[in-house]
Amino acid sequence: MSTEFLQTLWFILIAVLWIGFFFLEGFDYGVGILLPFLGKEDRERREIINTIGPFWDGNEVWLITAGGAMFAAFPNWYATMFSGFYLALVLMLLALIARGVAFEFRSKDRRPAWPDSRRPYRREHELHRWFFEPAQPLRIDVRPNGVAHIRHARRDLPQPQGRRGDRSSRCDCSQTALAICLGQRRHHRGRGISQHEYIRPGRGRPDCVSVDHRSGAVGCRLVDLSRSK
Amino acid sequence: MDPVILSRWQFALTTIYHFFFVPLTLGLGWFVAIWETIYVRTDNEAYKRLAKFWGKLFLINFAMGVVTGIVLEFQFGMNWSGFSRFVGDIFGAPLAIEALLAFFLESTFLGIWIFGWNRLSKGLHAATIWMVVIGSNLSALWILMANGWMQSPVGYVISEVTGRAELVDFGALMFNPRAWLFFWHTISAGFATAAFFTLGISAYHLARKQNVEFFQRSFRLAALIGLIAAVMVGVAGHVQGTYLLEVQPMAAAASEALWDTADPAPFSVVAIFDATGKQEIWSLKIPKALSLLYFFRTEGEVPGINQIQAEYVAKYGPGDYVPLVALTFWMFRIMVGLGLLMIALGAYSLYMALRNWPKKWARWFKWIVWVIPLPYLANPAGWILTETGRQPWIVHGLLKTENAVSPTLGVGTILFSLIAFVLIYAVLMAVDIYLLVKYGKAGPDAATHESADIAPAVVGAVD
Repeated sequence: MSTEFLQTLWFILIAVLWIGFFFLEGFDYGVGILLPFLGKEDRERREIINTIGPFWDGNEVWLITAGGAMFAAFPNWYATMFSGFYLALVLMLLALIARGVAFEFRSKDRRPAWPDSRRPYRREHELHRWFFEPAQPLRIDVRPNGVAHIRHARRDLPQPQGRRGDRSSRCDCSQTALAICLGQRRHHRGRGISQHEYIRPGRGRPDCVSVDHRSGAVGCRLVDLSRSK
Repeated sequence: MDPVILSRWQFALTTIYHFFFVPLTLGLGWFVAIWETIYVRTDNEAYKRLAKFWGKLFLINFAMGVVTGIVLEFQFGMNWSGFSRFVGDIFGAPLAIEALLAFFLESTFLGIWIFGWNRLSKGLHAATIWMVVIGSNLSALWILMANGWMQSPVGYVISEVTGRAELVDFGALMFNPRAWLFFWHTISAGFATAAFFTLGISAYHLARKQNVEFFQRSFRLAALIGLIAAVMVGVAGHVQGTYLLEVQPMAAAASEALWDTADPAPFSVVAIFDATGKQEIWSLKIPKALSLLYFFRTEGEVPGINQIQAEYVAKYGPGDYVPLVALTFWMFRIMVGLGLLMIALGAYSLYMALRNWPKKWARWFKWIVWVIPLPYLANPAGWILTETGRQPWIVHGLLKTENAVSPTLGVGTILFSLIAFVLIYAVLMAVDIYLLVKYGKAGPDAATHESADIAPAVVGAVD
């Protein structure tokens, strides 16, 4: 076999290895990036990680093999590229280390300080209380047929009542969270009131909305789905 | 500061750190595989508990080994581009094979093992952990072939066109005696590390009378394997030492601080060096003992540092070819001392286990938990000896370390990465030790119970 043929062959092999790495690990990265947005509580995050749990380690080996193959077949390419991209690679390595260890260790210790492992929604609650609530008072009506009506009350309408800190009587949730919990959203417009309907398919009762009539205001609370079952 | 020194520090720290996890992976995998195989053969749930408990500790350790390993492969190119260019044709081959054959094998089957409980048949599930064991041990073989070539280059020519080393004899690379001696020594050390790790944790629980039967089983196997492994480490080390005298006499002389060629040669038990580390101030010598150790007789010439230095100057040109003698000398003694201590403790443990924990010796037993750090000190000591004993060469006789470093890197850049690695590694070490201690102390019930934590069902997990 001529040197030229071998060079071409190894170039293709290395290309295959890098493509394999980006193809497989790209999914893992996507899962990691979306994790804080898709997983609202610890259990959901665990389940999301489990979709790549058995594979991320094997997928990372494509990276190691691609590097090793470059080292073996084209030492000059390997040496120039890796020393040239020094800082970028250092940052990548640090991130890869943190990521891999996080996958394996996050479920091995449960403590209150660990974000969201015991108190789901706590962080979201705080955020929405400070950022969403003053701007967007929501009115929620739950009909017996299982349809929840969310109204964007105008500023001049009475604000939801209730004592601060009493979570059950306050609207500390956002539309997004509701959409995730309640399902499909329908939009109506008219008479100065923007109205959203949230329909939870396949359920007679929206079990994650509770209305506190005692305080006189319509409020809602996100209920941990796993606990209410 | 010098980029060469900083790069060396970074490589040393990241490698030593990586090697805290590797030996335990190499050895503990065998233990888990043995327990699970007995479970499959006997259908006794007690052995499944053993496999799960030690498997849990294995996994905590394995994750750290994986993520710190990538750093090393990348560093060859990042910090040592001169080295990579020169040796890529040779060193790269076993490295690529290691990734291709061994890493894929172990990571794929480990994933199946973790998530395959109750999904695979028992026999098949046990087979997956055996594949993990084979994969991890094969990876050790390939990387040691690469390292063996750096210590004793074989099967190569230096190309006249490019000035780089080229492989002409793959068989010579594969059957490099140096590599196989390393492999023997390292695998034995892996067994010893896992055995003493097991002994320590078992003794902790036995001293507190918790899960007595469970930990007696663990202790018995670990004591047996630990003693055999510790003796094998010593035997392999001795053979390696005599081979070193042949192929790398400077490293051999530096590890013994033998300054002048002597026949018969004396053995320095302890020595004090000056600040440069290359001058001896005082030493305690036993006459003829070094010749006795090398040749098993009271005569035989052992070349000394000064003579080899003169010889190398004639051969390779002017320069300082003496490694940091103070370091090699003391690392060698730490390694051997700890090895001997482990043999003694292994024998004591095995005696206790075979004699069914006699009362007479029981009061020493609670101290057995402190055997865990011993292999963790001996392993890096051995590698520091090997790697600094080769200096100033990075590839013995072919390439000096100072010519191997990446020419493009500034001091600030390396300092940044060095500090970053030190910080993140320190945090991870704390977390790792915390978890190992937590699960080690918690015992088998926690490990069996919380297995849902490692592998809850993909959807609708039950905590």
